[in-house]
Formats: sequence, structure tokens, C-alpha cells
Amino acid sequence: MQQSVETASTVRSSIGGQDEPRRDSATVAALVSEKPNASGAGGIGNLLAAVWISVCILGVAAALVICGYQLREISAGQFVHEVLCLHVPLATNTFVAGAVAFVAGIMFLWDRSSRWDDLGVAAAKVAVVLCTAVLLTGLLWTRCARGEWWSWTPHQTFSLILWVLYLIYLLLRAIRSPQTRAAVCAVYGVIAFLDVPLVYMSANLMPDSQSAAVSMAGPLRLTLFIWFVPVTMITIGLIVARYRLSRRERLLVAATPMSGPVTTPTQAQRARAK
Amino acid sequence: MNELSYTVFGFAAGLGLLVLYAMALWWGHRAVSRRMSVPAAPAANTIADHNSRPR
Repeated sequence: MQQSVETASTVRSSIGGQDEPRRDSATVAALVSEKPNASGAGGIGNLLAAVWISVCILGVAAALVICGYQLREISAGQFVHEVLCLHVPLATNTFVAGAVAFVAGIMFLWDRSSRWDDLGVAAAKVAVVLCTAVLLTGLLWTRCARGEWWSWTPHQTFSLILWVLYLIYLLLRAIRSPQTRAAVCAVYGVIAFLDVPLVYMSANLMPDSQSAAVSMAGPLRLTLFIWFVPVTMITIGLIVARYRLSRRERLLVAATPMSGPVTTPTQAQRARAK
Repeated sequence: MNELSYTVFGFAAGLGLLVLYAMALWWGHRAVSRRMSVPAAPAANTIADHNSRPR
């Protein structure tokens, strides 16, 4: 496998233009060297993933049971505030994913390693998923608590902008040149993170905010802290899984053998030399 | 819908999205594993190959 990877890299680097990804021997060797870790073929990786998923499922189940148990204790008008116990950890972890994309962008601009590019993409994709969940749970809470789906409060507006910003990040991945794509996304990931403090401040400092309208006291506060554990673990697991998938896809592209017109003359020359 | 329905839908939407994305990632890993386990295709039979064969 390693031999075929090196052969493919040599051939491709000889025909690749300036926009082609660099597949010199050092790059491919680095990808191959992390293959056992990136492919998850090893027993330790699979075992760790299985344990992680099991703990996440148990955490979510425990939090749901606690939520259901608390429905007996809180009054009928407080039921819907249980959604905020999931909404707030999701929003916080959206910020975390955005911060990971921010750091990965800076690190990519620093050393131009494809690892940081892959990490930034993984974090941005998870941020989009989390932000979508935040918007959906927020919509349902707003509809039930205030009687309207969307009221264009600063908090809602900045959250929507954050979602759109990371959607644009994913659209930028359509740039064909890999080097340009990675650089543009790194810069954009740094810029997109600037909206995160605005969302946080609009939720906590502005008068018409959810935290001001809802008193997260007593059992609700406890549930809120309990939900932080499984949601954070799920976020970390998703980012790591997406990062590993990106590394494996990169390895697969580097290891794909070229077609006949490029490799065959070399083989023919070897046959004649014999 | 009553208040409890909104609560249940809120949890289902939030957790359902995470589960769907996790499943998509799992399918992605599986697809890449299958592609990596496929042996490399032999080189194409071109004119250069034909000319290099012993006669």
C-alpha cells in the first residue's frame, strides 16, 4: 500500500500544475504514517470510539430521564423551559466549534499544514449542525413561550447570522484549487468567529434576552448543567470523527493510482531495459 | 400543540440532528474503508504496452 502511494505521488507530482495539491513524498509519507490512527482500523481506535459513543448515549439517556422526572416537580408553565436546558449547551458548544475553526485557521496560516485545514472544516461542519439545532430549539421555545416563531431580537438575529456565516464557509469548500481553498477558508474561519462574541453578548447582556426572561433556578439549573456533559462529549466526538474522515479521504486521494497514459510508458521503458 | 408537545419536539429536533450527523459520519467512514480495501486497478492496456511485449 505504501509503495503504491509513493508511486502515485511521484507520478502525480510530475504532472501536477501549480494548483494541484502537493503530493511529494514527505506529504504522502506523513499521511501514510498516521494511517493506523486515521483509519480507525486499529483495535484501540474502535474500542475508544465504542466507549465514547456508549458514554454519550448513556449521558443523553440519563439527562432525558432527569428531565422527565423534573416535569413532575415544575409547574405547567415551566415545561417548555426544559428545552432551554438543551438549547444553552448546544449554543455553547457551537461557540466551541467556532473557536476550534478559528484556532485551526490561524494555525493553518502559520504553518500551512493540511491537518489544520481538515480540523477547521470538521469544526465548521459541526458548528453548522449545532447551530441548526440551536435555531430549531430556539424557534420552538419562542413559539411556546412568547407566542411567535421569530421576533428578530438581537439574539435571534446574531444567531441566524452565525449560522449563515458557517454555511458560507462550507460553500467556500467548493473552490477547486486545494491550496487556495484552504487559505481562503482559514481566513474566513477567523473572520466568521467574530460573530460568536456578538451572539454571546446579545444573549447575556441585552435586556430582551432569554436569560433575562427565564429564571433558570432550582431544578432547571441542575438539568442545564447535566446536559452540558453529554452535549460537550457529542461535540468533541463529532469533530474528531469528521477530522479523521477528512484525513482518510485525503489519504485515499493520495493513494489512488493514476490511469494508463501516465504510468504505462514507464513500465514499457522498464520492460525494454530488461 | 400544547406546551409538552413543543418540549418534546424541541428535544427531538436538537438531538435528532446530532444523531443524523453522527450516522452520516459513520456511513462516510464505512464508505472510505470499503474504498481503501479495494486493490489498485492494473495499468491500462495501451499501445505502449502492446509494443513492449515480446514477439
